[in-house]
Amino acid sequence: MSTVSSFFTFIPEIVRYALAAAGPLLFASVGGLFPELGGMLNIALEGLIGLGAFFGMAAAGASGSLAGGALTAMAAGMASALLLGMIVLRFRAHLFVAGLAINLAAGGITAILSQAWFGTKAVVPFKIPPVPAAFPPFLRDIPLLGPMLFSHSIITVSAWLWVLLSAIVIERSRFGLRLRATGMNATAVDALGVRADRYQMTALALSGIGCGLAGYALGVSISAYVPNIASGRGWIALVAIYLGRRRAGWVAAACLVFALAESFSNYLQGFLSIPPLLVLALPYAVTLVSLIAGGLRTSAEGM
Amino acid sequence: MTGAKPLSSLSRTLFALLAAVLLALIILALSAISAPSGRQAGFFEMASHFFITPFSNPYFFGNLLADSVPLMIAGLGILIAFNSRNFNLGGEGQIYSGALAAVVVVLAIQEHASPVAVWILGACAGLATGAVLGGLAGILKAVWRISEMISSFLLSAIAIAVTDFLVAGPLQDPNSNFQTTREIAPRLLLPGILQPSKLDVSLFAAILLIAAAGFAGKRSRIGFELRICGENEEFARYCGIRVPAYQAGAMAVSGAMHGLAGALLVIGLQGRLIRGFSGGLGWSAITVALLAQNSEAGIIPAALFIAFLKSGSDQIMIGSGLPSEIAALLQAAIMLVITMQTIPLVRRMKNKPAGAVQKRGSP
Amino acid sequence: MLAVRMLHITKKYLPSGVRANDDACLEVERGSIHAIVGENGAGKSTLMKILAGLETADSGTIEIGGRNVQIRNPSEARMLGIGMVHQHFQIFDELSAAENMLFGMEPVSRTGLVDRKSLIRQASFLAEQYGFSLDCAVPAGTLAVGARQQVEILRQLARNVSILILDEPTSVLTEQEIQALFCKLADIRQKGHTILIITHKIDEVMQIADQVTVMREGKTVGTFPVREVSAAELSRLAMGSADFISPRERSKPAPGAPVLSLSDLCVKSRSRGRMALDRLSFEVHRNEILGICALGGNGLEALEEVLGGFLPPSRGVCTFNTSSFQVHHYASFRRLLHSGNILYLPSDRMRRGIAPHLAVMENFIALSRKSYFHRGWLDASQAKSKTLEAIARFRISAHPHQKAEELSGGNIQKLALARIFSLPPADLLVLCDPTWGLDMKTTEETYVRILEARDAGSAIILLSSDVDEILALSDRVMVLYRGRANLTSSYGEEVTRERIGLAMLGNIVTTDSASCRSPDPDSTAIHGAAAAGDPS
Repeated sequence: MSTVSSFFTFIPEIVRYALAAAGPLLFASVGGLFPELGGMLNIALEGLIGLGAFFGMAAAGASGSLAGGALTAMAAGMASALLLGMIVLRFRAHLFVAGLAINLAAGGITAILSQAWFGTKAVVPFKIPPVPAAFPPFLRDIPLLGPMLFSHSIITVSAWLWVLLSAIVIERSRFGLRLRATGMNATAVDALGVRADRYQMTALALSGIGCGLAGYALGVSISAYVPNIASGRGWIALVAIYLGRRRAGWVAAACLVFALAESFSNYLQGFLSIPPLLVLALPYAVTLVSLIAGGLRTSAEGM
Repeated sequence: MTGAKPLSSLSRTLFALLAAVLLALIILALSAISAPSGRQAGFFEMASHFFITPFSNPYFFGNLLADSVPLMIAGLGILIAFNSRNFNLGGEGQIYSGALAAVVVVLAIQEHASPVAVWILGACAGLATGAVLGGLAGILKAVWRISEMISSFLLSAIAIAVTDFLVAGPLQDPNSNFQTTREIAPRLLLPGILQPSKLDVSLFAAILLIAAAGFAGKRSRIGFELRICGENEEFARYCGIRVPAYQAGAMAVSGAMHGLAGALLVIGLQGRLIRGFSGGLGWSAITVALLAQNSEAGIIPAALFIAFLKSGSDQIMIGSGLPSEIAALLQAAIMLVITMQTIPLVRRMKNKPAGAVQKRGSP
Repeated sequence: MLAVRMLHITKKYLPSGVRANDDACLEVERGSIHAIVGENGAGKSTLMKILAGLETADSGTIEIGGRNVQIRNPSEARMLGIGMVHQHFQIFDELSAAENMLFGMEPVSRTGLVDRKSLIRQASFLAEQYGFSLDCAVPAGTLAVGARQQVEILRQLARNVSILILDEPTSVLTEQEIQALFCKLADIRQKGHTILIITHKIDEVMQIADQVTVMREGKTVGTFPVREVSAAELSRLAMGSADFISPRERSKPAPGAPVLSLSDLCVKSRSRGRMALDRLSFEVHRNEILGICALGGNGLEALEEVLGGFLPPSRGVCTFNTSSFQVHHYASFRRLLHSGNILYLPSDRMRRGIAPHLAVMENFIALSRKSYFHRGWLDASQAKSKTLEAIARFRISAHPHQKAEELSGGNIQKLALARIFSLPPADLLVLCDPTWGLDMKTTEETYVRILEARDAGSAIILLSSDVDEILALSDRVMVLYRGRANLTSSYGEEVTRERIGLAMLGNIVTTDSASCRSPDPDSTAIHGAAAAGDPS
């Protein structure tokens, strides 16, 4: 019970947990960064995560292939995000209302199909192959760093790779440049002969892919699909995007902070016996406090 | 650059209603085709369950009216927020915690209080709770420009978690197997209409409220100044209107309406707060406000229609096993169709949190 | 050889039905600089937007290089070699100058990523080719206005435009930047490009253009070689009637007690360290019109924001009638504004002056709503009758229940004026660009009303970027340069256009107009010097 020794065991554990728990958030928020950079905030992230989880797990369970599940999850997210884009860009619907509609529809579709395909609207367990580890065993055995950094699954590592690749694409690629310009001034982009709406659509598609993977990661971690599996992560991802000031690195940092908070609260729950139902409020509370802090800082900087 | 001619408000409403009905029929047809034979009712039977049964007798029709009451009040709340260019996404929590506040207050005083006192205090408890949740988000927006959409949602999520905890924990009714609070004495509940349905007099309260809001919006100075705030913030400042106060105030009133809706539900025939009872109402209220297209008068038919969709979906669940979540899909369809081609109500809300910008068509 | 020929172009804007272009025609020689002049609303911008593919004409034909063409969007225009630099730049502030210039044609390395070095090299080469000296690597938002315009021009040149359209290119430039631009335009013309300039500044047309087309009220009045026409003639053709007589020649009451006195007014600028207003002090008296003018960016905008109740200054003392207070206790100042002691007419009436979706009546009563809402409820009949009165008196073509956005620009301007002048005369009127967007007749009427208000006892501060307006109306003139008063005339002192022009550019002007020193960036406020000089 020595606090010093438990300190040395729990810090790595908290970090390890946080790095892994951040995975879904990273997929969703960095994915959601693309449309935001193009000037269209996608608030359907929550629903897209649910769709990705459902269809991805269903495919993984049916095919017995983790990769098949991942691809299906990405496709489901992408298709739904493209639907959102088409309705907003072609039919000139309101962006936020359409996003909310997708959230609503996602809940409805998953419930209906879950009932139809699996006979229940509640928890649906899936038999899926175990998720391979990302690093060879000898790395995992390094003291302290091993468990923290090298014990993660390929899903978690993919999430961090997703951040890295996205950062490169945003800052250095032609697509990223034109997308950022679209967010700054879409009419100018059109006037210069570049199709702003194509870039916005592609950005939305990327956010759909990200959310699909986020949902899939959540499902895989519990080998099941649960209604409301996203549990607010889609909204937390939005706050991470806001806090990250449009830089992928900072968005990822915000996600990590949220994941650390979740990690801490899990640990404390054991220690302080906070009632489990109240613990559910903690991620939202932390997110709200960060949102307010971020807003205070922005306004203190004088706009 | 010049797109198609924008649809008129009326045609948009009609398209939205049509879309919902068509989608319902398609889902029913798909279900009839794909379901395992035997336990399945035929397409026409299901369609009759969906479209006709809700109106077929006082019980079902009364329930439909009863379902529309919280939608009317909360929908009015969303509309008021829209009028000041705010989007209140915290409705779920505002309704739920407003209901809890009412139950707590009423249970505390029910020994000594008269029914009227209970109704008034219960309603006030709901109003106050909702006002706090909405008002906080409004203040954050007005003073520090923090997106009221996200903050109202987060506050609401926290409120839901806290309410769940209280209901299943300290406030749990020891005599019940369900997760619910204790019961309010039946003599104190709102009088019912159209028994044996669950409809009560709050229907009249809702209609009166909407009429009052419509009148105040057009003729009162506060309504006038609020509309100017929603139209053009800079102009409002030019006229000396204190914009932050109206922004925060409108969000507070919006939340209060949701809280009131929740409170009226529990001091109505329900008499207790069952965990999760109000799920989905907040989102439906948004659909109602959108369908009403910025007119207070439109809220009443819009709420009735959404309540009808829910009722129909519940009916076919019994007959065909289709989950009642169909209602969510139908609402989503309405939301999508009704905002196609920028409409006056939604055009008010082109505020830009975090840089969200829309492509605009011809001037 | 004609580069461009536009024939019988007509374009109507709905729902107001205003004809932006009415059977307009244009012929432009290849390799020339061709100016299109006219007042605001003459149709010049619309005609060029049609050429650039941003608008489509309702009827008419366009020929490029002798061939009949259809231009439905900017891409098709670009294919034809047409490019436009707008008045309000379309720069991507956070991207570098090079990224802005070569947007849409960025070089890509083997890895598929943007080749930054090559990008900057190509951009710099392009700039050098046309004789611009520009740092292509810095974010475009940090460049000075003139440099940003150069980026815009180069952006078009990078796309091989042979026909370059410039919309009011000099409106945001300093005098030196204007001369630099004109040199560049001559160089660009040497290289064989055709340049079209939209402007209302006739003296600049005389300086740079080869040919000029005059437009008025949507129609083309005529096209002339610049050598064969005078500025006065052009002005007359553009404005449509004889120059109005300045209504100064009337007897007027002598100025009375000071109504507003501001001293040491300081306003921080949002960017670039410099103060927007730097220890500004001035006074305005009853029965007096103080005209304040400046070039863009020298403090006029900030002064309007302060006087209009939109921007609290960081320092300053304000004395209104007899009560004094610190101006950064802004609430006291705003109370004066909203209680009707100070009436303010904003310069940007479209953005600040109306609620577009509300009715005309609601817009009209908004400013003075206290008197229309008795105990919180609207007196609808009184509101409507007052609105109808104003509509008649100010010749606004509108109906009280019509939505404000349906009104034409000119009628919206009239509505904003009517709102101010229907109220009982206030101690102080702050009028910003009051006749912008108005036709000749309404301008004259407005001048008369302003003078009447002055004679009735109001003090009037007139902020305007139009020197003619300042000269026509003011009893005293103040010119701002870099946030300070560079020239303050005293009552009765004769101020010439030349003196004002020089003061706007920063030349320190003493009352002896023969001695003019060029702008000294470190000079302290000299508003005292001129006023202390002998007022002869």
